[in-house]
Amino acid sequence: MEDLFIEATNTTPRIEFYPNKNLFEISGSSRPEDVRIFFDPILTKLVQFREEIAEKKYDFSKKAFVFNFKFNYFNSSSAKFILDLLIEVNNFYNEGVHIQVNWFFEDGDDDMKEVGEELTEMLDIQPQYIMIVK
Amino acid sequence: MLKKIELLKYKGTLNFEKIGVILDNAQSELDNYSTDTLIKKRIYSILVEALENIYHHGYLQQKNDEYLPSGILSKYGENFLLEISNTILNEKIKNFTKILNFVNNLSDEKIKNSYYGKIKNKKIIEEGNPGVGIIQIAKKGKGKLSYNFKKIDDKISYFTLKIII
Repeated sequence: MEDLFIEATNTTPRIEFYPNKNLFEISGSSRPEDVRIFFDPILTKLVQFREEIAEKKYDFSKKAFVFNFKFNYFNSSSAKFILDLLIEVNNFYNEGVHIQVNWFFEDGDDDMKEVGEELTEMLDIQPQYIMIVK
Repeated sequence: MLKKIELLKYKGTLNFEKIGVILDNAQSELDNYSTDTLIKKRIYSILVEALENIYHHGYLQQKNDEYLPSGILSKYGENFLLEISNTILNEKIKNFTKILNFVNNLSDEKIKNSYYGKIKNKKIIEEGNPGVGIIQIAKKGKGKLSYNFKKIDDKISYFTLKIII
């Protein structure tokens, strides 16, 4: 699978998806004008990647595939789609893929930590919470 | 008497680009008046939801400048105050009032549960059918939401929402 890189804008987050480097990272702010148009292709790419893993095209036995969620802000419309991404990440876990999920929050931004805890509450895999100190 | 310092004032039509400019200006002003990361992010979040609410759901009338969308962000004692206004179709007032009363009658904990319930279940909550943006505003703000509808004519009214943060 080819890499996916989307540069951040004032309203959309940066996407770094490197299947061969064991990394998916979404970072920055999210309040797209059309949230579905932004998030749907990313979700589709993750689903395709999971299907390729099922076909044994990748081996994560030695090093976990890392999913980083590194937001400084997202609006309520984005929250629903971020939850969809997390549910898809959970599907990786349930299919036995060796993964690690990290949820970053800025020092003092308790709300960002809380939203991470709430959105992942019903998942089987729990993220590591990492505080960013500026 | 608490001193009220006006940080940001806007009156005019809104589009997606203008919302971005207002948010950038607000962020710069907030950096001058607060060092508290959480408060600054809460104000930013409320501003986004309030402005997007106008952009997506407000009724744009262009006949009378007095009733253009407007927003004022002030520092009021230890708190911040956001007053935001826009025209709304009279036929929507009943449902909007229901939404606002719904969140005003919930405890902080229930507002939080209502917000995450709506995000997780992706279904409409029956009690008042509240928009997730309004719930988010109530969740990030302090105390009750204060609101007013001023009737302009038989078709539209001017809606004002006051949020303490």
